[in-house]
Amino acid sequence: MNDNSETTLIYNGLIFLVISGCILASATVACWLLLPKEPLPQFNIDMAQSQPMDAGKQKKPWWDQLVDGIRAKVQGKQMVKRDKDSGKNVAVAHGSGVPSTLTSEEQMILRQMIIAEEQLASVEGRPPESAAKRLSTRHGYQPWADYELQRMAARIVGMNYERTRDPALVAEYARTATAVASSDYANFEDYFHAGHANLFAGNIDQARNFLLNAEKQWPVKTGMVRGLNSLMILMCDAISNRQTEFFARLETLQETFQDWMFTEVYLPDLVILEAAHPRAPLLHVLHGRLLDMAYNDAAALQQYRKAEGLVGDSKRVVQSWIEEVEARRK
Amino acid sequence: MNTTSQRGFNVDLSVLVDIISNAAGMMILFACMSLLVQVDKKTEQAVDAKPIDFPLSYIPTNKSSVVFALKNGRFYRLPDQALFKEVIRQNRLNKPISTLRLEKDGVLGAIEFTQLGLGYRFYYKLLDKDAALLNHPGALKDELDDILKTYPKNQYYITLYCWPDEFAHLQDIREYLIEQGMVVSWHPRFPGKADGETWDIVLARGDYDENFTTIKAQ
Repeated sequence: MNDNSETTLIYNGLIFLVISGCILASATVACWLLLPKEPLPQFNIDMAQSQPMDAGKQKKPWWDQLVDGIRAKVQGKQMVKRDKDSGKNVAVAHGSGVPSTLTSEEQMILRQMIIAEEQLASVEGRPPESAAKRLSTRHGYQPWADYELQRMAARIVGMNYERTRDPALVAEYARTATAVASSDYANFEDYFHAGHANLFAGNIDQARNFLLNAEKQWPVKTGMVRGLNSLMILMCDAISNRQTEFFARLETLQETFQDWMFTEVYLPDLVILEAAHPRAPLLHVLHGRLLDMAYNDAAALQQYRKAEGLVGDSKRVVQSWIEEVEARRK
Repeated sequence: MNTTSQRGFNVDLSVLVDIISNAAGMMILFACMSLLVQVDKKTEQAVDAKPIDFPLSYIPTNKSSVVFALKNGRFYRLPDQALFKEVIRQNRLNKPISTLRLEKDGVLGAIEFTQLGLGYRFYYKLLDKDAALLNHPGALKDELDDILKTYPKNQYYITLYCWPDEFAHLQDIREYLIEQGMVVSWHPRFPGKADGETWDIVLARGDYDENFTTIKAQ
């Protein structure tokens, strides 16, 4: 290698380094400018941290670990009161005849703390799972403590699903919400969430049963959440093609769901279900009817026309709605 | 692809060709990534977008409501966070709460665990003291800027409860917040129309009561 070729090599190397450096710098600047600056969803990060890769052994989710941790700290065996006739835990009534969903003062303290932590996290814009991390759990194992913590875990998964609509969370949401709703302590709110979770997990009959149970126990006749419960029963009926129940409930939807005009709340869910159940024409009928009620005529017609495969009375009813909307448009 | 410099050594330009083609490839990649990011942002906005462009109430599905009030010539922050913290403090002392009161920033607040045991109800009385004065524009702007910093516009929407004497200020505040990209709704309140005998505002989270409706934006 002579001097000239060495100089050539050095200069080529320098040119390569300088240009590569410029490209790397500009790529960094481009990344910084173009890519979103929000951190990755905290939920996924925390899940990853709490479930390190463990060769050949799958670790339990953190909420199960939380419950197990409490179980391990068994301090006493005080059981809650049980109904002598049914053998089940029953709600203690107090106040003006409205049933409480609590069975003891200790349970009330834990419930209050959990709800306060969850809502504080929401008000402060923290991810829901941060509430669980801040929770002070001094209780020994008691059935109600187990229930309350599972309930919290299910709500955290549920809130993350509602926030992200991430299909990867559905199975876990359904598993945790079903476990909570199967408890002796379960109330209408638990049935509602279990119904919601199972509807999106594809367990339609189970979802319908939970939602009907929730409706039966719902303490008031109005409100957005009760209306959504009724709407989800309609979605189950549409997917299972229960035409009689579907049209009967659809007829009274405006009375049972006073907030129906806030389509932004529930139509995205209906779209997800339509994609998951392409052979359920009644979902399009429901979608069309909701848009029809909101006088979104063009979109309603589009949905009615997508409802292929209807026969008999159902077909005639939908045809009459199409004619009504067309007449209105003229 | 060689060229000779004035100093007499050869510069191998094939290296440059490699670098330029790599750079071009990276630029195409970045362009694609930025397009994807833009598409994602648009989808997110579309989901949470105002359905129709006139003052029809709607529910921003991906945002939480945060409530403020205008009364007595003052701008009030409601102490919901302080109330939650006090509940947690009491619970940690192994005490359940039925109703709990505290006073903060000119607001007397009370929190009540609902009868069903599934949430909380909040009662607020707006006192004529401590809160920011509406006729001090500088201080009020600082207060609003602090609110905008505390409650990012992509996570929250603001609800303002306003009494008749403060409507002119409401208009200014609402305009300023909207200019900053915040979604704002407002509720007119009238003397004698307060919820209950003594409370100016009653709100709830996780309560099931036929008298409550969902807070909406405009």
